[in-house]
Amino acid sequence: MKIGLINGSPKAIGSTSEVLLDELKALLPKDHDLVSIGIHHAMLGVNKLEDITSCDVLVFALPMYMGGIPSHLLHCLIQLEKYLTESPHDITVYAIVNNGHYEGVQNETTIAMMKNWTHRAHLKWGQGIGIGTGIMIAEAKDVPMGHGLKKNLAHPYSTFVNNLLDRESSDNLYVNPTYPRFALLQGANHDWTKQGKAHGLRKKDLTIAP
Amino acid sequence: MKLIIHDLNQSEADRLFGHHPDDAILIGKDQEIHQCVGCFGCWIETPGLCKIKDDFRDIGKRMAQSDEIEIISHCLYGGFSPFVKNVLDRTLPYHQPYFTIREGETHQKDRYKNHVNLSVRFYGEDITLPEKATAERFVEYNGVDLHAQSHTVSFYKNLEEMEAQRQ
Repeated sequence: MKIGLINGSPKAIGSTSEVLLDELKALLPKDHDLVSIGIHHAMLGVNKLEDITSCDVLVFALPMYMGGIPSHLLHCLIQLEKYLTESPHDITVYAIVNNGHYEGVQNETTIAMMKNWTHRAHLKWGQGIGIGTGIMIAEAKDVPMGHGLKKNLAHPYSTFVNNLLDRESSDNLYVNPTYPRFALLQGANHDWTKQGKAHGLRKKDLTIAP
Repeated sequence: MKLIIHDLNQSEADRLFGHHPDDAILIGKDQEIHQCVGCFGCWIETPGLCKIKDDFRDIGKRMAQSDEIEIISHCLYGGFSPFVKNVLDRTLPYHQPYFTIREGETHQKDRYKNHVNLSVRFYGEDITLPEKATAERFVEYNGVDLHAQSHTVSFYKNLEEMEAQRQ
């Protein structure tokens, strides 16, 4: 089976979507043909269009931007929709959506948009998985699956992979981080101050209203 | 002030906004925009201002000067068209980096004191029921995320229908 792993982050290097796809790749049996495709800009070349449309399964990994799909990816989905509807394609679509907030369920509308695109492109919808605090999971890329920040991710990811390999459709899954929200947000807020300091800014500078 | 963000071509915009009030600012496809790359520079390097040097560097400030934001967009998969979504993606500097809890969920703290009234008008001849349902939830999400005072969403088959109801 040919599986297209599509990184839909605008970041070409070091994105959370890249890490989440790597985690998925590690769980896929080696006898499948895996194709990694990056969609980081608002236009797809012919080679990428052909790569994507030649797959049996597509897994889109993308960040949630303001409750929806990042704009550059929308351009490409329109392009793909046109290409895919020119002739029938037997492709099942899955989506891994992450956000910088705590709650995985905040990705619900973005996953719904991906599902709506699937129908417009005359493809079969498989399943979506919405992951909260994606950036922290990405920073813990060396932590083994099922441990630490990835403790809550292991079971949903395993279910997701099983459905993907069977090309089955199922309800969407939502994952919150392992740690309590209060503690995690306190840590994240502290980290923003630290990042500001690295640029010579004080905490109150980060809150100015120009 | 009212901010109108739309994806119409010039003749459609002229038709729809021909008599718009003097205190309304139009944001349309004639302005140069690049995609947000999620660098967070608008939070930790140049707080409140996007690092990308195009017409949208100060979009957060422009939003802060508004009491109403009207969005007019083709309904695409239950969300905004690429241009309108690009504008929304670039509104990250409107927020602070720091987290808060709003409506039971994590969002960013307000950088500004204003709370806009958000109205979204989607158009499209063949918007499906699932797309409508997605669009309604999406606008509700935007309302909470932008800490809007109110939010409304409406659907139109075409601009003629919108024009008739908007007046």
